[in-house]
Amino acid sequence: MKQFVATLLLTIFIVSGYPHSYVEAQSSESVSITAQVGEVIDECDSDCESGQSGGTGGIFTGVKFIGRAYPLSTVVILKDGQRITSTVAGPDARFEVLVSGLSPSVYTFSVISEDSFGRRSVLFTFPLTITKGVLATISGIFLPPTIDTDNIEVKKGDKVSIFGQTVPNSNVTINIDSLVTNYFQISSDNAGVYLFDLDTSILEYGDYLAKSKAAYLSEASQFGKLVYFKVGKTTIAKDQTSTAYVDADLNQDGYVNIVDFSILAYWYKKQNSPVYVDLNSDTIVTVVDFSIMAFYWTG
Amino acid sequence: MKRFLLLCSIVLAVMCGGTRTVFAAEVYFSSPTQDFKTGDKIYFDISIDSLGESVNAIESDILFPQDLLEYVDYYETNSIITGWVDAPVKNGNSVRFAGIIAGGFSGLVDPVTNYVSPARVVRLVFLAKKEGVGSLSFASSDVFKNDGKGTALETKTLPYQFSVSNEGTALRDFSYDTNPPEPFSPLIKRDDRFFAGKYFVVFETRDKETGIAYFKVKEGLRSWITATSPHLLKDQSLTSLVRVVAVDKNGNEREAQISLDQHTFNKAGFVVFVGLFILLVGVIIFAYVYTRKK
Repeated sequence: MKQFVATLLLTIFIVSGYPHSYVEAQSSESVSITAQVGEVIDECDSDCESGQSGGTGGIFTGVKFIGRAYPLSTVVILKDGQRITSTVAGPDARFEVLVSGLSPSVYTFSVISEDSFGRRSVLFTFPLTITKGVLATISGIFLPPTIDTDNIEVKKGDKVSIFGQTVPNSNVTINIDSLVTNYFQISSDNAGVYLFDLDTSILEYGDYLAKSKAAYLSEASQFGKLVYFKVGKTTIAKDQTSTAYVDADLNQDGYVNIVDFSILAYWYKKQNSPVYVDLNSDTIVTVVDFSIMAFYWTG
Repeated sequence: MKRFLLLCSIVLAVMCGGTRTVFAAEVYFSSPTQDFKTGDKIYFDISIDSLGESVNAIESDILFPQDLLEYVDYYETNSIITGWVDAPVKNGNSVRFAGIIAGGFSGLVDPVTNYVSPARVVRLVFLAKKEGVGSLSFASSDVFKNDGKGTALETKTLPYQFSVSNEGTALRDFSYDTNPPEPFSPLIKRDDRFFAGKYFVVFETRDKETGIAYFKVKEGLRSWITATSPHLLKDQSLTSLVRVVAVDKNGNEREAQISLDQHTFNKAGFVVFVGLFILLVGVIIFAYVYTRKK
């Protein structure tokens, strides 16, 4: 009996605590990381797209990213926070990108994309150890759907439209979070667009956060960005044409990158820093402000 | 038997509940040996285990025994940091640093084994001055969640014991670095709210072996100067070629050409166009007046 309980405890410890599942920390539930090991080639030749050399059968050091974004969207790859290459996804939202010419080391790679309406995805990040002569393949990347609403406030009983884009003909789950969580299932169309008219008569007055995730065949994304709306006494439409910059985009060019980092670094721990660089409004620029910026990073 | 099962239940609750509900990170020291040889250049790695939580910033203050060790430098070898807010700097018997991981970090994956491991933050290099026993410790260490709010996680740290002796283990050369820093693309920018709306250049890159020692900038025929990003340009007309060089701690260099971003280029181009147009109109008027007088 004691032996049984001890075994049970050990099993639960391993399953529940450590080692951590890599997948659970990522933006896709179906991501897998594999590696091909072979003879090292420094330069890629005509078969560069595949990561293999047709001439020698060897492999060059690099990383291949395979996954789904949004139909015909530009998919950008970041290395250590800086944009290094991009590709255009197919009409089925599939993309494949190869990054080569890497020296063996530790790299933080990220994938980001924008839908047809300019709404940006979350940053999908992979810290990897790159070894010489190893071609790593990260497949099953599934960027979460983009999301937005037509109103910032909706009169109780009226409808609020929740919409976005994902992989064509996929199953989209919309989650409405408040004191009670509601889930709604819809499908995206041939262009990957989804639209759900939520009848707010089922909701109490208050603030709500909506998020969505998608599933296609055996692949599934995790939940993406949050969008806020309020159920109140009146309906206030959201201006879809205005450019809303996140606070971390200090120079308001639509990107959170090294430019914003440099501006923030200039004001680090200085007195009388301007309000717009003080992201957490505590009157001084500290590491906390940089943490907020790193979360909104787009490269 | 009942007491045994009760004990098991408590242990179960701690294992299942405790590890999930208390979000904490561990920041710790490691080194190839704990008994170093007197007179050697030695190092201690500082690593982070986020315990599955996505984190994006770290700030630490390390204390070291000045009687045994002399701080030499820091190396970025296999560091997970994508940008230094505060690169490691010595202040008395402490070394302080702060950096970010853009996009967050929840574990370092080796694609060959698929093993998820903690990652190195920085390697601190010291000179082992004299024989003795001592320890490194954290005066403070804060790790921040990748949640857009800068939430500080409860962080576990432990002191690290070591000794220095004439019979200690000699380390292999760890300052080997023949590769230049990673390629990078500086950008020229201007912002009405920064540097009084004047043009500045931003730059950043990593060196995967020893790390970046410094950057230098050259505008046109002006001399090379050591610079940090952002760097205010002296030539606000943007007519000078701007060159930026990243130099690693072994002296390897990587030079980058400036790419004017399209927005800036368009603005600069527009100013040049208007200037030329005004000049042309002026020349035509002058020629007209001149010929009429004749």
